[in-house]
Amino acid sequence: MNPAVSNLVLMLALYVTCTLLTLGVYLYTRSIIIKKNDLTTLKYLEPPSTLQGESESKLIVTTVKDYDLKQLQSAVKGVFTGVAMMAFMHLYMKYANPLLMQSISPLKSAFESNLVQIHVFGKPATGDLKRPFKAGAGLFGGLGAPQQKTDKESIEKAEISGTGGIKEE
Amino acid sequence: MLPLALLALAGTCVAGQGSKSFSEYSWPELADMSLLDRLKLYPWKLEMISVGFIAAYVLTFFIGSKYNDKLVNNFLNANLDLLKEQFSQVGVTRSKLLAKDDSEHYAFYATGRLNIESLTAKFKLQPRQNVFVWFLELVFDFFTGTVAPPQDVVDLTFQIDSQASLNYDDFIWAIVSKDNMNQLRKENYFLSLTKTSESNKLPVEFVFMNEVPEMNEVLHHKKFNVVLEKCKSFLKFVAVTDQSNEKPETLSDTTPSKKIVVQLRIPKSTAEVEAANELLKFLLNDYIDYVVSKASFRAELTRRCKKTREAEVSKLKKLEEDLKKEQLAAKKLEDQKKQKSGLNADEQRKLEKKQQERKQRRQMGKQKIRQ
Repeated sequence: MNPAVSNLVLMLALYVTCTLLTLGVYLYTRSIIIKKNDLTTLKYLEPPSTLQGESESKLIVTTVKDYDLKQLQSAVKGVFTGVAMMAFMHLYMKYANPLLMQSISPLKSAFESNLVQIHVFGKPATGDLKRPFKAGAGLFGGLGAPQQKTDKESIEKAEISGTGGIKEE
Repeated sequence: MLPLALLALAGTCVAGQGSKSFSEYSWPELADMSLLDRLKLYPWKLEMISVGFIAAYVLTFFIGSKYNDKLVNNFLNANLDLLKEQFSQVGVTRSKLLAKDDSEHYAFYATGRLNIESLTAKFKLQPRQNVFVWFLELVFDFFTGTVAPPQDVVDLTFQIDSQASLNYDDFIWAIVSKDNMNQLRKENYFLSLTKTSESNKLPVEFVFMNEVPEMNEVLHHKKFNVVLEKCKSFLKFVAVTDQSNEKPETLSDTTPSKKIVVQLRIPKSTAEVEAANELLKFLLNDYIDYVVSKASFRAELTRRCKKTREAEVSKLKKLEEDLKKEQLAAKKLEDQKKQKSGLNADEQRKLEKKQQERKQRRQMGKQKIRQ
């Protein structure tokens, strides 16, 4: 067999297994979250997203379970986006090298993610793992990124600000 | 439609045996044939697909809209005895119980009871009659989260009459299901004026959303928990409010109008329907009259409610003033333009000079004040 081809097949197999493993880890975490059914209320202020032209921060009132499930969904979405990118790079642009790199890194970030740390490894949800999770260092440097507010004063002010029921037409 | 389809079937069979297909014949050849021969020869595939498609669509429309009808009637019939016992007029007219706007919107009305001006129930169901929209909404909700997921919801509004409204205070007090509560706060203006607090007096699936926590002692009726426990799978919220669910846009919208609002996912199973009936029984037999007679509080408690309302009114006033100012400025600009256009060049220059001088003087005045 041509050695170049067999290498490619190996890499592809590795990529597929790793992606499936990542999804498996997330699904397992999901089942734990649903089983725990933690209905403790959680309130925080989401910083305004400047991309959507918002100027005021939004109050989010949710439960720990709903929050975790939402975070998990965005993580799973991230995996799918990665697969789509990979498919484009590999099938259309014929790059093979990123396959190796991209098979390890989602799995690594899955195990490092806050949710897996809390639910699978049973770490207490305090310190860095306290909900709401801090916005990670993004593409544009995490230092300047706006963080969620959880102080009592601003939450109490936002709670009675009457922002609901705006007619959408 | 049926003979056409049969003909088409026959046509395709014949075409399968024949030597030439329809498109291979020339026009004169076709013109020589009889009508029947031509119809037999013509390939009816496209027509069959489109007719089949339309038939499937019509069929799903009827099935879906029948199912929606059934859901609404099922819920209503289970509570009809109770409603007839409580209200003198039940139904939108004497002869009609429900008003059906379309296959996903229904409304019900009842009136004629002590303390209650009217009961309106607004049903909003999943668009089962339109499979495409239904499917699209499901997909969009799953992948983007921008479209609200389709749901079967009923809003029951017990409007308190003006006489009974005088008997108790203006406040907002609600028991809300924790499931998706952020969305409920977003959809209902009155909930977004309240503070959310957990309490061990409630089942874990619910929270209090109220303006003044001290009101719980009176408003959290002792029979509430039993009912909540039974309704936890479908009850979204029970609220006593004087504000509307839509954010007021003008000052006149802020005048309090007292009501008790209940939102449910439309109950389906018999156990759920029974539980919903029990909830309504509790509201009509005990709770509404209880609120009307008992919900007057000390001045310290109602002061906080008043403060929130005043803040909202002042926000609206400011908005209205800003709008007026803007209109005035626009009018002034237009007047100036008109004045200018009426003059000749020399006079225009003079006017400009005058305006400039006035501006300068005004600035001088400002500087003097600063010193």
